Amino acid sequence: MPKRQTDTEILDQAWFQDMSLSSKAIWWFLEKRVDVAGIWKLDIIQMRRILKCKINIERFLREVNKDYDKITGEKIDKKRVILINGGAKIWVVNFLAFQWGNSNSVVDLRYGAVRSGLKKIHEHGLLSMALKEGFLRVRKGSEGVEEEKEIEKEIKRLI
Amino acid sequence: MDNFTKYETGLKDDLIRLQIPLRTIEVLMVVFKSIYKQGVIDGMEESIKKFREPITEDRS
Repeated sequence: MPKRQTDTEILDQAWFQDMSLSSKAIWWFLEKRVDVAGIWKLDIIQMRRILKCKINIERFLREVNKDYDKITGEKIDKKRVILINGGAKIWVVNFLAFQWGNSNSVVDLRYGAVRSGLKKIHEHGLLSMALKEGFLRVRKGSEGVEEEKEIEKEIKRLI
Repeated sequence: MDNFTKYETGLKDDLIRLQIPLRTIEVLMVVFKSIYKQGVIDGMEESIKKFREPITEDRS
């Protein structure tokens, strides 16, 4: 039975507190159901059957992808979960970095799960976005953070 | 350089070899360091040596 890490401080974060009950349930569901890369093929029927509530993905995305500016308190956009593959799949963008990375979202290629997750992200054409948006950073051992081309080369070599 | 620092890199490498998530390793290192520096557990240095030896030998 796989075990996953969870952030207990999420309960203190305004964006999470503000979410509706059904959106909190969807977040909980995704934490359990996504693959190693944080991707899940949307299956609303399964989600509804398990969560026993109305599922509104648009509302969920609106609620989960917001935050508050720490200085002004203004609402700001924050990418946490996005639809990919034309809406067929959903991606929790920092899942791999949260589960396997350090507190600076740096993942290490020495981990099998990291290599597998990066391969999936690469196959979905999301690696560039992941690196540019800072969803994760990649290193191999103590060699420092790698450039995208180097990472792609490593992924092809290692997998 | 204290004894703990001498072991720190090796310990991290061993934990990575065991595929312990980095975030967990960060927490473990803080705990190990705190215990070691406060001398809460006698023979910690020996324990670290014992912890490292079989893994290093088996996996290298």
